[in-house]
Amino acid sequence: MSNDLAPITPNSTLCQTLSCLQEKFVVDFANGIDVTRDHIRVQRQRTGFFARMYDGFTGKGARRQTEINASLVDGVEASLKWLTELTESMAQSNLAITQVNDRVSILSGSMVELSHYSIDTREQLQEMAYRLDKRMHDMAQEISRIDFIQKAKLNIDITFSKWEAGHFSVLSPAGRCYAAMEELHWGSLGDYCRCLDNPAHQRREFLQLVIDRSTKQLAVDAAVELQTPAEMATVWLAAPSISRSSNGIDMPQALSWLADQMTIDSTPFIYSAAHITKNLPSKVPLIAQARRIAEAMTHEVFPLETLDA
Amino acid sequence: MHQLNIDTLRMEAKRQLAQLKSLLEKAQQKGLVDEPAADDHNRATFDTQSIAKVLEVLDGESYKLDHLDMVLAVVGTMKAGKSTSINAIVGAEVLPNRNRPMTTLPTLIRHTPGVLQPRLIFEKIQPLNELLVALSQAIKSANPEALTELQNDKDMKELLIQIRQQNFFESQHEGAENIFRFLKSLNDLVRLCFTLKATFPFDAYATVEAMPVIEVEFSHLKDTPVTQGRLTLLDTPGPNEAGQQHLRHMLKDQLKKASAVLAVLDYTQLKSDADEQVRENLMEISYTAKDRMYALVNKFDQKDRNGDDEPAVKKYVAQTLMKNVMAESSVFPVSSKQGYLASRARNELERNGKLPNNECWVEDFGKERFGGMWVDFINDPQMVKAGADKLWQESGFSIPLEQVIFEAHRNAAMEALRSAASKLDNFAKDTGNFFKANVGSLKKSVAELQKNIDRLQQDIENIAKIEASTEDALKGILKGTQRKIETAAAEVQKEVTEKIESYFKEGKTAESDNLQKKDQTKGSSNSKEKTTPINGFFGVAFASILGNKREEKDPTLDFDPSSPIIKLDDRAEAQDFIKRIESSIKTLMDKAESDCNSCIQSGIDNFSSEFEGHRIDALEKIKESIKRNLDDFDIMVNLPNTENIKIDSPVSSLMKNAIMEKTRTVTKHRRQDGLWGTICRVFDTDHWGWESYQDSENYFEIDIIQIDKSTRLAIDAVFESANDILNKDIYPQLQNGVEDFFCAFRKRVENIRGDLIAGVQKHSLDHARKADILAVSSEMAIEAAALEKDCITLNDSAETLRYKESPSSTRIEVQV
Ligand SMILES: Nc1nc2c(ncn2[C@@H]2O[C@H](COP(=O)(O)OP(=O)(O)OP(=O)(O)O)[C@@H](O)[C@H]2O)c(=O)[nH]1
Ligand SMILES: [Mg+2]
Repeated sequence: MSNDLAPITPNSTLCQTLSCLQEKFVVDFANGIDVTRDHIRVQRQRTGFFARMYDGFTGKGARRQTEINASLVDGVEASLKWLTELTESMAQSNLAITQVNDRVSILSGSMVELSHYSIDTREQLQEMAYRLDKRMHDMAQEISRIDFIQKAKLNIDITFSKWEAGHFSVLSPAGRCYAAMEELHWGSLGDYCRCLDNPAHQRREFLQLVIDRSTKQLAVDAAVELQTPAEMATVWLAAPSISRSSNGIDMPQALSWLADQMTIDSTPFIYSAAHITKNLPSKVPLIAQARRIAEAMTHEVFPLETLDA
Repeated sequence: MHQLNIDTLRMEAKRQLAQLKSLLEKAQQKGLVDEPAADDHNRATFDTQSIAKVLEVLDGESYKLDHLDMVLAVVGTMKAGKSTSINAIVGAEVLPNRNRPMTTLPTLIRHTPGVLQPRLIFEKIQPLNELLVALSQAIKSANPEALTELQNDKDMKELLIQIRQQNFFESQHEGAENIFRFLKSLNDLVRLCFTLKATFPFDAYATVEAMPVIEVEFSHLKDTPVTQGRLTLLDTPGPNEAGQQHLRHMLKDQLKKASAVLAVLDYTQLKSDADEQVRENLMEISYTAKDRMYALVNKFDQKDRNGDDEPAVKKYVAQTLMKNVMAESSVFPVSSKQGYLASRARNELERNGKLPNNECWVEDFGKERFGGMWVDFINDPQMVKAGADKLWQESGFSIPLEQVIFEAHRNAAMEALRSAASKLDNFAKDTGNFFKANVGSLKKSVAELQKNIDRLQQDIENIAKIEASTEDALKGILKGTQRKIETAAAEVQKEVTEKIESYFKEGKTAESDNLQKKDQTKGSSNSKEKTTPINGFFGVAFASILGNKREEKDPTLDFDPSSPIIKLDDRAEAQDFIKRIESSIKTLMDKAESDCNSCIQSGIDNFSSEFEGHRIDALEKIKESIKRNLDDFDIMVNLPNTENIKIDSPVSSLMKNAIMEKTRTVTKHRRQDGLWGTICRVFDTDHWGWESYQDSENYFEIDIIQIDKSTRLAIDAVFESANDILNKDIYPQLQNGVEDFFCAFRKRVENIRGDLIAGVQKHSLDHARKADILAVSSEMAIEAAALEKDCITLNDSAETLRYKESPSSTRIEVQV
């Protein structure tokens, strides 16, 4: 019963498979709140993937328990309330929380100049800012604790076992690799690697592990030898013939949404793996070995500069 | 299985070229590229001067990928029909074919769409005109008898007039007739030089650029899109033509580069005495052109009822002649003459709707197709069209043409790809190093940087030391090999002495026995010729061996034991005796040749193992040192590949060629049959050492002195050939290889050092500018590193694809 408009609920297979979706959803939701015009920007585009998640998460389509009156949600006040809730329940990563926090500071700033918001709303925003700050602080501490390494490792293991077990199989090999990268990017590994207090060698080691495991899995998926170069277009970017299951359509869409901030120039590999393009970006080779793709994807998601800084 | 195809690789090469170009241009724009350093040894990897050249090369490679240059070399024995085959491909008569050697200089025939009237362009005409001047002097002092003889030849007469009037050659000739006339006079010119013992300036024509080019639209290709590339045919002089030695290297090089090689053999000569030479020539070509070589067995129209049929010819050529280096499927019995006539008729019909009235080829075509009644049909376009199509089919030309052009296209694409890939590989490495060096230099203090610079200088000096010692080692091996050849020569000459001595003994014994027999029946006969007694070991040897026998002889008998002439009057006996001498000499010559081969081969092997052994070891140590010295830069300088430090042909074929060249003059005059012919090519004389007299009575004279002399000359020629190739081929090739290798390595290190020196200068810039350069360089270093990887992948893929079997599933569309 899947179609382009069907809502995507938090407990759908898709959200189970790609846990990063909800993290990004929270961030996008926060970024969509426009206090100056008193609505949510993205919400108006009813066809986008975000909109489908929005419907699924607000229960609009599925009439779920957490259902909130749509007209209320569309307003800023309700949105803020819901953002608080979402952030508490869904945002697990430091990455998401940091970004929501950034957004909230901006919102607070602009609200100062706006008169039509109630004291309540302002207070609510302040309360939220406070809680976010506290969470960030706690998290920062946690991330720099030695046992966080275990969490990062677990993140890697879980991600790659999902991939190995075929959960991404509706995607092209490069798409699968990218999906895995996003799981890591929004997961504990991402948090670990972005924390500059953590030892650089450990972070490098992790990324090397990610590259190695991706390389191996890419080669297995495409059935090419590790050393053998294969065509980008017909091998690495070739999706299996479209499956009729909802995943067959939804997952590629989800991928494309995850990459909505990626540009052809700065992240060409991700761009070509996540979006359907007629021509390959000029920076992407027409032939490549598995390792080349794994390295490029890894470094596009975890730029080397952030490691060196 | 995912098979990479060549078009993808070609596109990838183009992408990489564009990427690299944009990276370098960006580096220029961002001010990362400085003026060239004053001292050549301090030059950076890229400076404003060198980067322009690199960009030019990148553009050139990109152009070549888009405009494939296909060269189809046509080789073959004399008069096999190379030129006729080319005319068949072109569909017009652009090359003369006569019943004597015609193609003098290698000539290029280039498919040029739209050019219906062929034109010959010969830029380098000057040396020929200088020759005209020189010849007019030579004629004045020439032997009048020789001149009269020349005057009898109509073509030659024309040339003599041209010389007398000092009518200079033009560098452009329009139309088949003028081209024909020009090429003919070129041919006559060479013959004239031969007669007058003047030198034809072959050396001036020993490069591809110097070759005459004929531009014309090939009728078979007129509908193929330009993107398929440009096809050029290379007509080569037969292997025995004069001037071969001057052009040999160039021709060999051309064959190596050719996209495909079409060997034309003569069906009617397939099993003649030319056989061995054809085979040798083709085998040598096959060493470099193995999998892009096709054989046309021409004049198949001459086959009679008993002649070998198609399968037999294919099998014979592939298995027996070519020893299976060529597949049966690459051998095609054809008739180039029919192919040419059919192709020309079709071409003419298409252009003009009918055949011309008064051209002799039309008669040839008519007779070939319609027999004696040809005049009845020739004006009916429909009959002619049908006839031409039929003849084309019968000629057997279309299948090989399609295959060869397909193969040429594939190989041209492959060549363009390989060339681009290997340049990309090198330049991308340089680019990566350049950015890394920029980043590294800015992160370091000037003092630290200076330390790196000094240390690298030490490494560079160490490379020079190893280079010098390698060159010494090579010289040593050359000397050693020369000595070994000398020893081997002395050894073989000793054997010659022994052999000839024993034949002399045997011959004299037979002669004396015969005489005794004869004396008993007939009485004595008169001596026909006064024999001169000889000194030296034959006489002495014989005297000592037959000394006691002599006493028993009747002094009236016409037998002089010390004379070098052996007289035999039994035909069978004489022939058997001669045959045995021949075969012994042949064995000795073979031994001499194989001794030389193994001396030279072992010299080469010694050098390679020397080089691969401790030279490379020492260089690897330097490489490690460089790496340590550049550790914080993350720069790695690899050794260049050693691929070019080798010999481009097997020693045995170099030897065969050299021996052939030494003996060429003789072959030119006459071709001896059989074994003895091969041996005797060495001497520039008609007198080999025996004669049969058939006047009053049959008897044979065998001049042992002459045989001894001739044999020694022959053996000497072999050893001289060995020394020649050692000095002129082997040593220079190895020496150049070594020089290039070291030069490439040293240059790389020098360039990086130059980058660091430039880096020192960048430290004097202001803070903001430095930060800017650092940021840009870092970003570009990352991009360059990625590109470097892609270049390696491409290069490897291109090499892998090259060794794969050629796919036959896809064929380009060529209308044939
Ligand atoms: N019967 C017959 N004769 C042929 C055929 N092709 C060429 N000939 C004749 O063979 C002779 C030599 O032909 P060319 O094309 O000049 O041979 P070539 O190999 O170019 O000769 P050089 O360049 O002088 O070594 C000419 O007399 C041709 O007419 C053929 O298919 N059948
Ligand atoms: Mg010719």
